[in-house]
Amino acid sequence: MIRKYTFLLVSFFLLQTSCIGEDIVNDFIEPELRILNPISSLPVPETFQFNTAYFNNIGIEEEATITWSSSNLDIATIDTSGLLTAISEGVTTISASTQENDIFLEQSFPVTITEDGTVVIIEPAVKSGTIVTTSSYLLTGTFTLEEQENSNNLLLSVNSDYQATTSLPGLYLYLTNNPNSISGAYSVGPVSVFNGAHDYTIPETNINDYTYLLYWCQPFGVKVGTGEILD
Amino acid sequence: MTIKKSIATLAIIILGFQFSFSQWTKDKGKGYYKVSAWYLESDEHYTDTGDKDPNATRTNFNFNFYGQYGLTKKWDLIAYIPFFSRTTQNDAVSGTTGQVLTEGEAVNSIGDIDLGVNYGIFNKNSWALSASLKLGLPTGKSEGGSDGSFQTGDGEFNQLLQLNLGKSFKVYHQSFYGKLYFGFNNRTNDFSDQLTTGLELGTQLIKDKFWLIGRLNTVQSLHNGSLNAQNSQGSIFANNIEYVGLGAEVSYYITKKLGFSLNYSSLLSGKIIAANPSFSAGVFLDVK
Repeated sequence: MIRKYTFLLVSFFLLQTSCIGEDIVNDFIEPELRILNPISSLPVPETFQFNTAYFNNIGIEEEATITWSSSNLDIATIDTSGLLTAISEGVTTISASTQENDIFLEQSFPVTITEDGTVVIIEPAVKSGTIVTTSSYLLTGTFTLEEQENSNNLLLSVNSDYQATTSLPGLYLYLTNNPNSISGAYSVGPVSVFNGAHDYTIPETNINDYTYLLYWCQPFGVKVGTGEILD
Repeated sequence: MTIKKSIATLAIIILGFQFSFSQWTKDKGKGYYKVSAWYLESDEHYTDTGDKDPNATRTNFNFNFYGQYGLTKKWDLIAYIPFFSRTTQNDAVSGTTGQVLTEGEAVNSIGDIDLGVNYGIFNKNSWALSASLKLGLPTGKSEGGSDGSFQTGDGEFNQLLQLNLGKSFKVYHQSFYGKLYFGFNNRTNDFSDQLTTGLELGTQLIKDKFWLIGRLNTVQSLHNGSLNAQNSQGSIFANNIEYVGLGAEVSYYITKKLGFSLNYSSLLSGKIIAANPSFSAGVFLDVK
């Protein structure tokens, strides 16, 4: 009798020590082709190199073949690498597209070619957003993300209306393109300020590289809140 | 139970189960010994505000020994030894691509051992009053895993002093016992002290064979410890855990001494603690 129940207990013991389960994360987002440095104007005879990034359906950047085109080759031409050459005055539509499996993505925007002038960069030097909790834990505030002069760094400024819970251990801040996952995200670091204004310097990062702030509890493995980075 | 303090706190729950009948002390040389497997799988927790939030699934399993031995007619020795504790966290797998996003982890260790004594103050006319002192020894791992949050112990030495009042009675020829307890858990290392209360009702469905037991337990924090989530070195359920728990146990005597028991416990409400139910199964030897 004792043997029988000992066997059952040992079996349960072995069952428990044998495997680790799986949690399925709902991390689907729409794939995106993003032009990282769009411009609105280019003088003759300047050239401008466009940079793009393709983010797959979980928000991770992947290599992709980009096809470039200019709607009016008399005004500007663009080569297969995305190098734009201004030819003559006028407006042309620049398109970048990619076909990944059965997904076709395209971005188009007008560029004005001028006889004189300077390159006009479309991208905002400053973006901003609102931090909102996605959990029962306190997390609120607003922020700005801005480019720094003479560097490739960004300054993330969390404003004085910010409040965060101190009840969570291992609260981390990430920059991500997927608000449901830290996979492929940039770790800003552990959160050490829970009230009021504070700043983070994000090195070597383009202002269009990420679309969300993500507050993540590391031990719990869950998001606590997000802030969409808006123009 | 998943993490650090939930381990110690739920150990109180387990001990609460083991302490059945403990208001009635054992006679000299008699004893009750039990080997159990205990399991909790937790994918949500109670927050500091009492709300429920999700978390990555963690499991806690322990293999433990509980023994109560009568030194004299009034004094019992009590020991709870979780000689194998295992804490795991699941892999996080992308629902879109099937890729493993975050590798799971597992930590194995001995858990925190409890040693104590139980003293029978009186036992007369179906009433029994006893006092117990339990010492919680920090024998488990207070840090483990990649982020330090995989603990099998709390790293502190605590002392639980408890009064147990019990009465056996009959209702329409059905035998029952009732038990009420009240305890104070003095904790060290900046943990808050705790008040524990409990109510237990048991009945023999088959005389000397089959017991059905129900329990209601509460733990309240006195909020007098400075330990919090920010200075607890990664512990998820660091301090100031509170809950109201409800449990049920069936206990079957296969012979006069040997039997097995099954246990289920769940929380009605809580703060800073895993929110899922736990289960245990054990084989006991009751030397009467």
